Amino acid sequence: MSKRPMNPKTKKKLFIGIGAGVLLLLLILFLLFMNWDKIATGGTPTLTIETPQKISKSETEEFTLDVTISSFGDAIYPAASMSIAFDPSRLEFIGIEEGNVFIRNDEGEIPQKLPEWSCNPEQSNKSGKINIMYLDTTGGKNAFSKELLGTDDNVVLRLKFRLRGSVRSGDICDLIFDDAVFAASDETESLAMTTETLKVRNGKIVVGE
Amino acid sequence: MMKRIISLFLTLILLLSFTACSGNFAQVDLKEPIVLSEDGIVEKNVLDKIKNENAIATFTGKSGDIKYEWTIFGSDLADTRDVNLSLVLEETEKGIKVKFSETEDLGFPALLSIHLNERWKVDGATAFDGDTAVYSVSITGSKTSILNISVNKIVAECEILPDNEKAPESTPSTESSLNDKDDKNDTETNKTDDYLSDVKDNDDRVYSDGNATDQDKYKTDPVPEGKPMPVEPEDQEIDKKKSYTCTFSIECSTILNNLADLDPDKRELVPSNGVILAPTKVTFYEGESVFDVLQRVCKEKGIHLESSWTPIYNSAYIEGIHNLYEFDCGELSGWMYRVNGWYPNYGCSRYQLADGEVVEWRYTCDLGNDVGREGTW
Repeated sequence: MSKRPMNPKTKKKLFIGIGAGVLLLLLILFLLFMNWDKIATGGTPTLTIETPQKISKSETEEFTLDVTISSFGDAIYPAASMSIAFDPSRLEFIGIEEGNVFIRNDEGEIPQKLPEWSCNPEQSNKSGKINIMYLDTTGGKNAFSKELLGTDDNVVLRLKFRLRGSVRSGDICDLIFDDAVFAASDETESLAMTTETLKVRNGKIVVGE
Repeated sequence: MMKRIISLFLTLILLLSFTACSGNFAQVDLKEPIVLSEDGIVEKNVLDKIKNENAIATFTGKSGDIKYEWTIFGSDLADTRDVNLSLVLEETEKGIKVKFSETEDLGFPALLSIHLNERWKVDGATAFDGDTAVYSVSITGSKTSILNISVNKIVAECEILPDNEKAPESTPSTESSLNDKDDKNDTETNKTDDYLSDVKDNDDRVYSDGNATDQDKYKTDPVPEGKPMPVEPEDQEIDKKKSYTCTFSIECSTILNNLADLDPDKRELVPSNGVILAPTKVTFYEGESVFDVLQRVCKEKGIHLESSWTPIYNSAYIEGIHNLYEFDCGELSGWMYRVNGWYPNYGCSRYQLADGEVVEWRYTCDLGNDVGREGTW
């Protein structure tokens, strides 16, 4: 049986179709390659101390740094803690201001309420380490969960500082996570820095003129 | 009709491919750290975006197994151009060698943070280009170390060395004298003379002629003849290209003789020999004050320090060191400093250091009378 020759018009369309397909594929591969880092790490929640604009050395007022979370896992998290190291000879830790990440209310419904974080500024300024904790004593009714996150910046809390008189222009004060945990009732679902189920990004305070 | 649709589709795809390849398609999210491309080039349009949005952008890179991070503030950017932020980091016998790929000055200050994989147990560090100190390096981190450098001018290559590498001389005789309380009192006078002979000639401070009779505007009594006049901290320019060394020590041995007056909660803080920091050679930069160096030394050695600014004296006031505060050992107790055997009659922020000086921070339980201070404030 002899093969029927392809209509030149059909052939042309086929070539064009294949060419377009290859280009489209290349484009998709290229975009995947360009954004691979984001795709690869996109799933892991990240806790970030947001670096603020430079703080003037003559600034005597208090200023705050946002601590944000990118996402949560599927569990609910009735407890959270973080430990942040700082230089108490340059910074005075004043305390915590509330963020905009809610916890469930007692009925586990909307509207929600804001968590009450606890810390001890006096001790923090002595040790150079801020230990912050939230504990839901209701057994999960006042827990963090992902459906309560907004779409924009999710500020878990705000750290309030004041520069000490000793700072100089150009000084750099690192704020470093020593530890951070969002604990789920099932430990395997907890988000923890040590198990790399929670990524952290440290912040800096840069002293300007 | 079909032909037109196909050609339109093809044109669109070609256009998209071209845009993507030129780098403009990939939206730069300045809120996320940006991973440096292999060539390390950050394009002008990205810097313009940082500038226009007044954003704070972070660029991350890796050299071997050492991570580094650049932080750029939009407010620092003026004229922009493509810059190469990639580095080659190499551990050397004594420190870390940094090779910049960029060959010209950035034109803006950028903050470079080098994340070491372990803690670098050094007192402090400076980046040297040959024998010239080019960058001051601040070190933080308790588990692993982060080296922070403010980079504006680019050098081809520099080596970050621990401060004691460029000031290796130790002071065993002084150290032993401070560690040995009995010897200390016997050698007090001789030690002062030794200190004075250590001061180098490259000292361009103004010295008192002893003729002043009134206090200055910061309530400072006339400075004794031959002693350095106070400077105002706000007028001082620190030249990090000129580094010198001085000797620093911190001790509270007077408390050992006044334990009955000591706050009982503070008892365990007092070292058995009273030495909190044995005499240590430290590097400082031209224009720095005793207070600047005290802060750095305490930070690097992990010694607690608390101070407050006293506008009336235009100086920092040292409230506590090593958690030992003023009044912890009686109502006449507190911290004093002595330079080359003399207790300056002005605050430590106003004492500009000179090469080779010996600074002692001493805890007094009797307004200075028990640590050899003479005269009035």
